[in-house]
Amino acid sequence: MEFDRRTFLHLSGGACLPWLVPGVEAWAFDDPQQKQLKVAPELRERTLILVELQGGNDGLNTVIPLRDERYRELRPRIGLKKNQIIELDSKQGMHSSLKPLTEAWEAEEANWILGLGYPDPNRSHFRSIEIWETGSDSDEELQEGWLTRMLKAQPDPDRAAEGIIIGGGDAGPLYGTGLRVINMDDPEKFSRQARAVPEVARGTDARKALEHLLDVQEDIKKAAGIIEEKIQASPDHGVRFPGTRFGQRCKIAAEMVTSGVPCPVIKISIGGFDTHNNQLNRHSRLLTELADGLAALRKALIATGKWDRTLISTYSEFGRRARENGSEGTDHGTAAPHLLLGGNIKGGFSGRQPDLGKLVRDDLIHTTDYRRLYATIEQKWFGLKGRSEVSRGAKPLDVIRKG
Amino acid sequence: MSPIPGLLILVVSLVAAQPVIDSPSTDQQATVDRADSPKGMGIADARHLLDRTCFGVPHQTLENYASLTRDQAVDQLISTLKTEAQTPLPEWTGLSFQEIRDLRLEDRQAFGRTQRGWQQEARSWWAQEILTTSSPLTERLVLMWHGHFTSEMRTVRSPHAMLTQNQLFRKNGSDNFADLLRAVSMDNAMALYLNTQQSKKGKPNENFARELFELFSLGEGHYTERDVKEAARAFTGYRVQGQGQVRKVSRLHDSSVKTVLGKRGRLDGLDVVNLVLKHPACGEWIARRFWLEFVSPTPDQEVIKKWGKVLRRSDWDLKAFLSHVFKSDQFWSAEYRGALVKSPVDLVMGSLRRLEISEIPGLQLNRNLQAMGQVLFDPPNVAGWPGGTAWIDSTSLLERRKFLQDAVPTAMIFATWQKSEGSASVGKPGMNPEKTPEMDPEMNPEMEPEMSPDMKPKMNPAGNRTSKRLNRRQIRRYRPVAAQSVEKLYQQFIDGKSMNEEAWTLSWLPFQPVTDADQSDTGFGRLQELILDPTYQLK
Repeated sequence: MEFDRRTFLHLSGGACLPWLVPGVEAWAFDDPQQKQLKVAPELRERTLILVELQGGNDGLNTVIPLRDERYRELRPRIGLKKNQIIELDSKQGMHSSLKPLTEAWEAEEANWILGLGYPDPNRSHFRSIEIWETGSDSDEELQEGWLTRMLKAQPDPDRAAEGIIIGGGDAGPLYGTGLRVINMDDPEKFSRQARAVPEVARGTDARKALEHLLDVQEDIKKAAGIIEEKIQASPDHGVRFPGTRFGQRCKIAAEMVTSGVPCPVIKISIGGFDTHNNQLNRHSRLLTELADGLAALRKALIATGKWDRTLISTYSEFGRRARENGSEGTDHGTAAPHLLLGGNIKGGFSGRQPDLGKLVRDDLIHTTDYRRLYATIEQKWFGLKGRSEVSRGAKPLDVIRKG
Repeated sequence: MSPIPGLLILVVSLVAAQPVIDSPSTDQQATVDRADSPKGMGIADARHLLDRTCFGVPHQTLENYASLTRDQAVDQLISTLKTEAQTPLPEWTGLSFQEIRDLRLEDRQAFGRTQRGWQQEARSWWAQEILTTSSPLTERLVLMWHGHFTSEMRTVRSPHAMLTQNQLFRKNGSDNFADLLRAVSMDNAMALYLNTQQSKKGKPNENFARELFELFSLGEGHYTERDVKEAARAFTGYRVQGQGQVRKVSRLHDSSVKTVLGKRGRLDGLDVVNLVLKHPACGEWIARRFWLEFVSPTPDQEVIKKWGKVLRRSDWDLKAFLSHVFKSDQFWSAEYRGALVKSPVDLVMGSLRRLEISEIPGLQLNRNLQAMGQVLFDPPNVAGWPGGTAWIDSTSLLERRKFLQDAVPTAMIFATWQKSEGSASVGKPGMNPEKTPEMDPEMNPEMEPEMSPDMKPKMNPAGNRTSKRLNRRQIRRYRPVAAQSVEKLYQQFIDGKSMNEEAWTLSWLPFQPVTDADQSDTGFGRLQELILDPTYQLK
């Protein structure tokens, strides 16, 4: 056997070290360069699951101000009645379709960040989601996702990938070059497709296009190899996921996390929130689908001991107009609340509900810059040094228990 | 097989007109089969030329081109250029501006639905044209200009305006660049996309002026912020009118004195365009675009300078310029073979055209293109598709492989079925259950992405074809027949033209494959070992 650097590491410490460091798994020590030792331990152990609510979720009918009469004035037809609201504290309640999440709320594992948004809000789906996903100002065009900027500075060759996108959609906050992002509908299918990708002996060919192609092939094979291996040894969480589209996406996300696939970010999405008309039924159905999926995901992660290491965060391109429109719906709006879930979350509310008395052309004024969420994820969740490229100077929120 | 009519006559006349100069080549691969056809450039060169300038061609055409010299081939190719599409335009393109407005006023919601349907049809229409045109070079140029003078349908909305712009690229795209630039500046879709429509005296919108300089004609560094501001004033007051023409409306136009690119006067929009055309950087900027499209991702500045001069001296003659580019040493250089990544359109349309498959409903084609990251009429932003290595990431690469692995054989089996019995049953659904393909939910799951029932297009502009699926029995029956046709192609190729195995490979790939070929493969296997090799993604 050739005594190379890799073998040396295994013999001299790599093989026994993992058990001395709690929470660090053996896979973290397989790299000959030991690059991963510079990576923040939280980034190696923890997962962020992003849930995109596509179409712009109506925040005001998600978290409802209980004692503000203006709510009913603004929404005479689609305002939620008492029996459609679950009281969370003296001032705020949530849509009763989110009932499956009350368990997490009572366990103090859920935090609603109120009034998230940005100045000079854009009301185009396309542009506003671009702003949210790149972390830019309203009038600024950035070429990379905010997570791309965060993770590019934290390379770790032992990851299966930097991001896994489940159920279609683009890379979103992971958009841009330099990251390995895998799009997957179904791990089995992905592995099968990847298996058909040929192994290619790399020469010293200077053809750039070919080199890039072969790099990507290697990324695919690497991710698929790790995913396949991990999934085979996956613990049984014993949870039945809902048969909805979103429920099935949550199932795959659970599979990735419970089996310990090393990957810091997973993105799943749920569509249909663009409720311009006939909102009450549609929105209720959507929130049920969302809450059922997330509740199952939580159970599976608790059963396998991964709940403390997982942070779930929703996001959406915008909230909806405070004043209802003429067709029992709402038009594109501005600020909205978003939900954090996880075993390490401080339960409760952060930020404050936008003032219904101070609307701009019937739209809410945001109270919390949306990049405070990103700063929280960067610094408090992944334990990284705050960088202005990611948070654009926004301060983290106090919502994570340890960190 | 579709031999080129009149090819022989043309060859003879060309040979008579100019001496055959066999350009010296250092490229080993390009000379593989030259020994056998001393006057022709050979199959590797023919593939290189046609993969880059067209979207792939049937085997017979490839062989015909291989027997020409490079110069003859380029002349032949340029003679195929057209100014009109051959696929009939969707019927609604005949509606007048006023009729569409009335439709919208009648019922906004219904109009929104109709318009979305039209947008799909517009995409299908173009996909169909690219797939079946007799002049793929024309469509290559239309696509290039669409990515250069971008407009996005999701912003412009009107499929009418987008299709009109598309015809503009066909009409002017291979003729004269000055005319093209002037026409684009007065184009309906462009006015909507870059907001000249909202720009008026006292409230100029800088969007078009900025992109005109930065992306369309000069490139950064050749104009100042002041030029942008002044030019924006020159472009105030242009409005879409009547049947969609853009006209200068005096009361909205700022007619005061401006200074743009060093020239002072009461300039209007067209004056600015004419000033741009006089700027030396303009020729180079356009030359650069052609280099990126046809040569490599890394322009050679010295050559770009020369090409810019060629373009300006010919008074913006695009045919002459194309000929110059295609006959240049750089175009043929061994250094740049395989340096370009095939776009999704290249990969999808090129593969189908090569295999002479034309009977795929347009919507499916667009699904495939979208999955790989290219939506016709919707480039990602005003800068167009970044292209090059940006086409390939883990998602798009698996999609590309999936297409080659599953969709291509599926399409071939379908085409085989259609040739032998499909034509008899089309138009008589249900008449003969044996021969009419029915939806079969039990079908091979591998076929699913290509032929699922919800992809059925409502109206297919190219005809009233519907989305058909073959049942298991039909697939079992026609799969071997289709596979045989690949084998036949191969055998014909090897025997007929005294070409060898290597020439066969290089008729598909820019250079030797990087994966090991399985010697025992025949039929589909023989095809797949080529098209699934990473080098097939390059051109």
